[in-house]
Amino acid sequence: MNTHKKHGFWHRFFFSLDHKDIGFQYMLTIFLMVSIGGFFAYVFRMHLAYPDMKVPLFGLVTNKDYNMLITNHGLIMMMWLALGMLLAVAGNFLIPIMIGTDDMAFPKLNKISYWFFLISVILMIASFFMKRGGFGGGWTMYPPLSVGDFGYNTPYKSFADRFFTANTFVLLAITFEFISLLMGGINFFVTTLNKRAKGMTLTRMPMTVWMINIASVLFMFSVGPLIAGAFMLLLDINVGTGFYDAYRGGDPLLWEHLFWFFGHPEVYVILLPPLGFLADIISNNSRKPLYGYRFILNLTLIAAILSMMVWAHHQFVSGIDPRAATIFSIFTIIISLPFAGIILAYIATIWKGNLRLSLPMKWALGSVTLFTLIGGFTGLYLGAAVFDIYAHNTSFVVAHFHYTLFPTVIFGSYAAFYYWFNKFTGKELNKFWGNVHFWLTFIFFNGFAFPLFLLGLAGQQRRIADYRQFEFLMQDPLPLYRKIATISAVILILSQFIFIINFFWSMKKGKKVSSENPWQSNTLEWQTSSPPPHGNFETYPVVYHGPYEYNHPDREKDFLPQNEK
Amino acid sequence: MTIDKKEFQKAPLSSSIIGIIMVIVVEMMFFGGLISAFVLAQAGQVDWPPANQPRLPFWLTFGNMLILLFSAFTLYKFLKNLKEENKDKNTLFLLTIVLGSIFFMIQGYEWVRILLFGLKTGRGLFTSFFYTIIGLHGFHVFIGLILLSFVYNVIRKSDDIHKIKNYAWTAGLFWFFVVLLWPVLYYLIYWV
Ligand code: HEM
Ligand SMILES: [Cu+2]
Repeated sequence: MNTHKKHGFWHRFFFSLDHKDIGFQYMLTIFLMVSIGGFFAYVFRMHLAYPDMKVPLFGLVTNKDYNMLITNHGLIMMMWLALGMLLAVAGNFLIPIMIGTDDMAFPKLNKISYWFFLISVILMIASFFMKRGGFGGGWTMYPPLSVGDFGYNTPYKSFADRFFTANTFVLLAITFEFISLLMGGINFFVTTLNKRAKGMTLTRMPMTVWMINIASVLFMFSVGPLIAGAFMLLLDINVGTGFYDAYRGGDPLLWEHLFWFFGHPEVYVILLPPLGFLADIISNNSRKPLYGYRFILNLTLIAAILSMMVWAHHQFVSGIDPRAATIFSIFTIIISLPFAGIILAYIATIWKGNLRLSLPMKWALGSVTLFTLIGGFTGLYLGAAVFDIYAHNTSFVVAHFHYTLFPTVIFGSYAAFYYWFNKFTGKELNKFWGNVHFWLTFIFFNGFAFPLFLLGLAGQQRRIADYRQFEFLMQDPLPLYRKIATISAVILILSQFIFIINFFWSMKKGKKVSSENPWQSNTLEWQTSSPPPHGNFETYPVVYHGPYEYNHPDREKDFLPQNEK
Repeated sequence: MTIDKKEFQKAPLSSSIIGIIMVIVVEMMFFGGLISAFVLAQAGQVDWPPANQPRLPFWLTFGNMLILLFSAFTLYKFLKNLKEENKDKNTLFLLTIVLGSIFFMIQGYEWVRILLFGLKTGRGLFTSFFYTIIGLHGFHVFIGLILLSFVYNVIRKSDDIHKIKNYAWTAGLFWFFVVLLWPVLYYLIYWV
């Protein structure tokens, strides 16, 4: 059933239809994007702590540069890293093999979706080089700033003058990326419904598969209004329609509603796939069945539905009616209950288990701790309008979302990398450097993000290039906090090179895996060779159990693969 | 190698039908966004549609809507009759395409006329919304017609009733969406 043909790099990178190859293409492309986003972060962090410094590798940062850097950092990390890594890469690598099938339902569509992704990346990078400079209107792209350099007052010269601007290109890039993600998401969903191995009933699917699918569907339900809004914004820029122009009867707030109607569900689109990896990794490393499989699923569905009713908590200071603000506050606070439930289920899974502190487990535990104790918790404060009116647009918010995004996107992805690497490459990652990488990341992430809470509470607004204009922000110890944050961020970024080197070195020269199932896991991907052949399985598996049968009292082995009777 | 279908869990619907349903979900949310933006914009205006602008052709578009609705009806009949014995009777399907094309052409003709009358963008929200929403719907009609023509070709050439059914339903669902969306838009933009 498989041809075991060895293909060269070009084939693998450009023409292959195999889901693992396409996943790999997405991954390399995203590595490129993250390097850009990370570099931007390094430059503007340096500038914040040392405003007069010529930043090495960049030079002096002007205010305009600063706006461009933070905007594109945010856009790249949210749209290309988070969505790309957690939906496209994870979905492509994991879904077909975990449900026991050979490939996606529509392999060609899958290929096309990657091409769209690549186009989006090219457009995005091209946007940095436009005549008027990169896009600097903030990653949330509020009009009028996102319409032109000076809002609607930018004189209209010609169509080309408007079209070849960073604003247009960024919007087009996002459009292409979303089309790509939609094609991908449809593919995942259809594959999961129609191509599961025999016996793989819906409730025998690993959590990872469930969560990526729920995230994809949530994405589909929420992205429409944003695409509509982006289309209107494109028209405003290029044709001069004026949907968001208050002067002509339009409404700039309209964009905020359309954006956040998508924006808040998006953060759950990002959160859910890592929650799926964590479920699999935690259960495997605790050698215990996942606590409350159905409970977790139901809570996730509730949260997904609720997530579409909380968007205005980003707009508490946009002149929203206080009565409406109260309702949105209440929904926001309610929505953290399902997530609290899910996290409790994970803790119950760990409880009294035979913990194996493997590398993936370390990342998983780091993720759960930081996300719950700090990220989610501060979200609750922000969700209460009374607090948010003070905290909005300060570094407190920046700290909040870094404490939610970093533990999920970065820690979650690393948990997955360290867990599944040996399956898809047949090689082992170096453990020592893995540990070094983990501890450096853990420590310096906190070192970078925690001071932002303190700065925010002291009144430091976000999106300000030079704080020296505010005397109260230059009082001790605030500049020191900024320096701590910057130095930590630089070390944090540098420590990621350990991983990159480890990753590529191990892929080429690493130790061959000693077994096909080193984690003694139950799920189907571990029951085939490493790396899996084209088509994934020599013979198609038949499934007899759920994915979490660890330490069954009647068994000798402490695990029971899904395809063993 | 191709896999025997029996190796999989039994599937409720074919892959392409599930796929098109997902597409329709996205489209509904997309137009939902546009429509709510339109309704909100309208709510903030006293003078709506603005007085000194060409009126929209109410009755012509009404007739055109009937044509479009009729095309959905012929498609529905076709899909209902789609059985092994009469798979050659694809005139109804062809009729759907013809009616859809007529709708598309009348709509295009109207657009040009309105443009010539001087209803230009940049003259306020109403025109902006009009061209955006109606234009996007027209674009979807166009895509729908391409899909239907493609499927028509498959129907003519193929003998495999399962394949025909699958293709016809996939394109058909999309067409139903495009058609049923129109009365909503008509009501909101031409009528109110
Ligand atoms: C317990 C759940 C959560 C609650 C109650 C919550 C609440 C909030 C609130 C009220 C804001 C607006 C603050 C402001 O702008 O004044 C906010 C901002 C934000 N949150 Fe959360 N959040 C939660 C979880 C998450 C998660 C899981 C993520 C991502 C994985 C996330 C990402 C963000 C981002 C990116 C922003 C900032 C957007 C911006 O203005 O640039 N949040 N959150
Ligand atoms: Cu939110």
